[in-house]
Amino acid sequence: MKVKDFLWQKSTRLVAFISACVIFATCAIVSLSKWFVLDNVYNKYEDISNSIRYDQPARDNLQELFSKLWVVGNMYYRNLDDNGKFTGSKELKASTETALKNLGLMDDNGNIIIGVYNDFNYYMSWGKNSISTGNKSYDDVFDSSTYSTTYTNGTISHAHTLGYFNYGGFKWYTTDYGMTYYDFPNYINGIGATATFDYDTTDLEYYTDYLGVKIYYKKDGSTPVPTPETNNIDMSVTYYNDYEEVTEPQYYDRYGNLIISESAEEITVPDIPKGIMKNDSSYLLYDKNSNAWVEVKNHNRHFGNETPLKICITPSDEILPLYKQYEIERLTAEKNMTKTVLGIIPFLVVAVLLMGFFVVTSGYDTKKKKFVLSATDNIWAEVVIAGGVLLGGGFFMSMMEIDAFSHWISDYHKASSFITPLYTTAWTTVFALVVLCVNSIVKRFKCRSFWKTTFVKNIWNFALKILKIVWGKIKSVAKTIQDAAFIRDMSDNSIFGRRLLIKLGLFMLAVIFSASLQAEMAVWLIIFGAYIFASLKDIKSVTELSRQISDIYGGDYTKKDVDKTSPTYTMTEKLNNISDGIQTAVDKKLQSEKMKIDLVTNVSHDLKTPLTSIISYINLLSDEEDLSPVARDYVKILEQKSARLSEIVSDVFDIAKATSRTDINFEMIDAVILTEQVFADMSDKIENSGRDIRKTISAETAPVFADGKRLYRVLQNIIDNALKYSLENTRIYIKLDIEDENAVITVKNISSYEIKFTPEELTERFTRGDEARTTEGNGLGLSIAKSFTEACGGKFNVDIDGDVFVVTVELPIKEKI
Amino acid sequence: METFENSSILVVDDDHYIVNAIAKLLEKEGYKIFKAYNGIEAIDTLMSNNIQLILIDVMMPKLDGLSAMMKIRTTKNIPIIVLSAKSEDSDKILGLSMGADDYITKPYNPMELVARVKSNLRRYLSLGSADSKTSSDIQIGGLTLDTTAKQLYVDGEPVRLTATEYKITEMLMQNAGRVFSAEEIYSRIWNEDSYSVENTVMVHIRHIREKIEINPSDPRYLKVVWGIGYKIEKTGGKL
Repeated sequence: MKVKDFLWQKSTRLVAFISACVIFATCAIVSLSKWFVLDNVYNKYEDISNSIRYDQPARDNLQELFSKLWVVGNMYYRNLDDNGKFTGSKELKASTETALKNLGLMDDNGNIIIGVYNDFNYYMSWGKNSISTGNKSYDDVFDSSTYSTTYTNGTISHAHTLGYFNYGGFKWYTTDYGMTYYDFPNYINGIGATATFDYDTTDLEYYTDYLGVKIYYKKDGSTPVPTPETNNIDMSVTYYNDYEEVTEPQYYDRYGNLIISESAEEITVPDIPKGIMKNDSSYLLYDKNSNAWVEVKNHNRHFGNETPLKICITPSDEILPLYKQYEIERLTAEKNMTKTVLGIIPFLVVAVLLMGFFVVTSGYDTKKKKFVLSATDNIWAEVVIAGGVLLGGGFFMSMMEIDAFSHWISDYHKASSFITPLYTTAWTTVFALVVLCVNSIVKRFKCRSFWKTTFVKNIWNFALKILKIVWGKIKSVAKTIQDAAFIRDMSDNSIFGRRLLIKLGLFMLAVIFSASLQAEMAVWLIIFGAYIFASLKDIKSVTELSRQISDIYGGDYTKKDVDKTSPTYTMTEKLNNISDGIQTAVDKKLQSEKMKIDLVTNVSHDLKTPLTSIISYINLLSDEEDLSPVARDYVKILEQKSARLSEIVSDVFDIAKATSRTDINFEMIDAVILTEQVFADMSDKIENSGRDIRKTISAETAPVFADGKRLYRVLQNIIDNALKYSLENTRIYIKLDIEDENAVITVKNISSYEIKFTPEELTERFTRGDEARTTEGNGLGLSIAKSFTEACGGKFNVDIDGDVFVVTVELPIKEKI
Repeated sequence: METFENSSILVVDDDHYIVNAIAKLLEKEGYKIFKAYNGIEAIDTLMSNNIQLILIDVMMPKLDGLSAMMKIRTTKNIPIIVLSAKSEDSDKILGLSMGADDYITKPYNPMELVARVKSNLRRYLSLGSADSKTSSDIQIGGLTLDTTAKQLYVDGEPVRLTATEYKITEMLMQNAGRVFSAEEIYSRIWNEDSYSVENTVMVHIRHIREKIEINPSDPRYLKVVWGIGYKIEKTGGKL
């Protein structure tokens, strides 16, 4: 129970949250420091490989070396037999040697020269003939640990240590009649292509192709004009592949794309010669130089794909050891990194668990015993989700881009130590924020208020509200239209309706006149005048109606006469009826009041008359001299009791009058002075009573609007009551305070009898403190006090607490009337 | 003190027993009594006899007390005391303003009734309605204050007042109708400012009342205006 309480406490989860952040930050610092070590190695390693990969001269060298080996292999080693002897014709050998010499790959003695490449070791072979750095074998040159680039069967396997170079564009082909064309996109000594001929080219016609290679041919077609490739045809050469049907020349670029160009028309093409255009495997070619048509026959192309040419290039010993050393460093650093990452995984798990705990318990209010939302949970859920996703995405982005970012930062801020705290802070903040976002969303689900906090919901609510308002408006308009049916209801008396129609008619007239006659001013004035006149009449009727309502409000119920044609006729009639009703009601009320008062007066008279006789005769009786002593005692009793009866009758009618609020004379009096006066008036009685009276009057003045005589009776009665019923030798407390705009007079005493009445019963008539009713008093004292206080607009209250008897009289203070 | 015995008094009430009781009561004092049981009888009796005072009830058959009184007042100046069961202030004011000299409510205190009868008779017979008065006299109802002799008369009888009582009476009579607060009275009479003087002033007021009023608990002249102060009525005895 204790543990559970502790877990659900706010402080506990806050600690969990903060610890998770701290653990995360620590992990970030540790992994970052390791990462920077690794990064450093990477950078050095990259510098080395970049020296080859991205260093232009090095790349050029590599490319050139590869080109040379390819050309030598395909041009020369291809034609050697197993013993290294050239197997071609005399013409081919001469042509090949000339070409190789032109390319700078053969010296005057007929030896192949590759040149000096310090950074690389190379090996090239065709069949059994090979050439390599220092006559090394393939196995010597080839480095098994992928540092070598090997070219076999037209494809290349790269080592990432070496830069990339173009090998796919290398190709050669032979024609049927003995020409071989070599195309190597990477120039050697400024030459990108060359050709060898297996026939004597002396005195032959030739043209120079776009790569600058001289192509020899005979015009009779026995050694036809070759082209390097259809798709390498120069734009200046136009050809037809189906000449019989084509009437217009078609132009192609060197890549074989058809061009329909205006420039084509500018070229004057002579008539196509007949008789040599029948063969499917040949086509006509127009030679710009000779300005004549030549037939081109098909030929075989070779890209070296299935040739036994093998090339291997490996970084030389000058680069490789350094390279290998860094690689070892890299591997170690990578291993360290992995170890570190594996090491921090438990901590990260702890951090995630702590965060999980935080998310699970978050929002729990231990006092309310339920989950509650905080102020931030009112942010639109979509915003929080988007924020969380963006932050999370940003987090991973920054992980990915850490290297570019840190390089960029360290370019500007030399100290890279700056990055660790920066990244740690940023990551931890992002981590915390993402957790908080997740937390907020989870909390909403916990409180089942996710939907409520979404933007969609808010929009929905807003839309509903708008809809409601609109609906209300529509309804009210509909109601107005419905109400407008009153025009129908009023039928014969619908003067307002008729007026409305007249006004509308006037308005329409005005519009028509002003539009058609152009006599705007005059017509407008007349119509406007008529409109104002009509309106004034209406206003007058309404004013009269309003005056009648004011009169009724003020108590004047006289009927009003209104002309039958007046728009307010029916209303006035109805008001007259209402007036009548009120008048009757008021009259009835007055009558009943009068009857009540008359009743009191009459009963009073009827009681007092016999009482007067009784008192008078008792008085006469008591004056008789020959009465026996016993009879005299009896008369005495009669005297006392008749006086009491007289008092009671008078009191009862006082109460009756006070209750019916008749004969009350209100005036501004001062409750303070009144209290003092009552005291002075009763001072003898108080002194004789033997009770100690403690009087506290805190206010200097307490103006009230009341009947002084009645209030005098009130105070007299309650003080009398206190004197009469208080325990002997006890104190009576009398207080006058002003509380909340009321003059409050309190009389407190200790009762000599046990009070067996409720306060309500005590203020009822004829209740007396002593049940035996032996003391003087008629039991009307408090009842009179209560009636009189209420007649003066005050409140009379009796409180009983054991034997403590408290009477409170409250009278509203009136400053001035 | 003169009692004006042998004066004739007319008692008018529709209740025979009350008339008889009053007759007995007054006869014992030596007055000659005439009886009437309604307004018309009363006027008839008054015309055929020499009568010095009338005690008349209000609610009577044939002609009620107030109407009879109005008729009597057209010819006679004698004191008229209204005796009525109607005890409202408004009734009293009505009665007094229609010509009554005094108003006694039923059931009356026989002693008071006798005292009032005597008081009214005395004033009527010994002082007259406009007796020889000097300009220094202040008269309010049955009260006459001779300011030169510093003597107060109640219905012609001299009353002994202490110096302070006289000063208070003089001030109140000179400003009849005006209400004085206890503080004001105190500061004017004692010539000093003070607080909580209600008791002191009230004691004097009570003493004065005992000397000038027939029934001090229902005073005619010196009145407490509850919650405000004290005054002597301007109308003099008429509330």
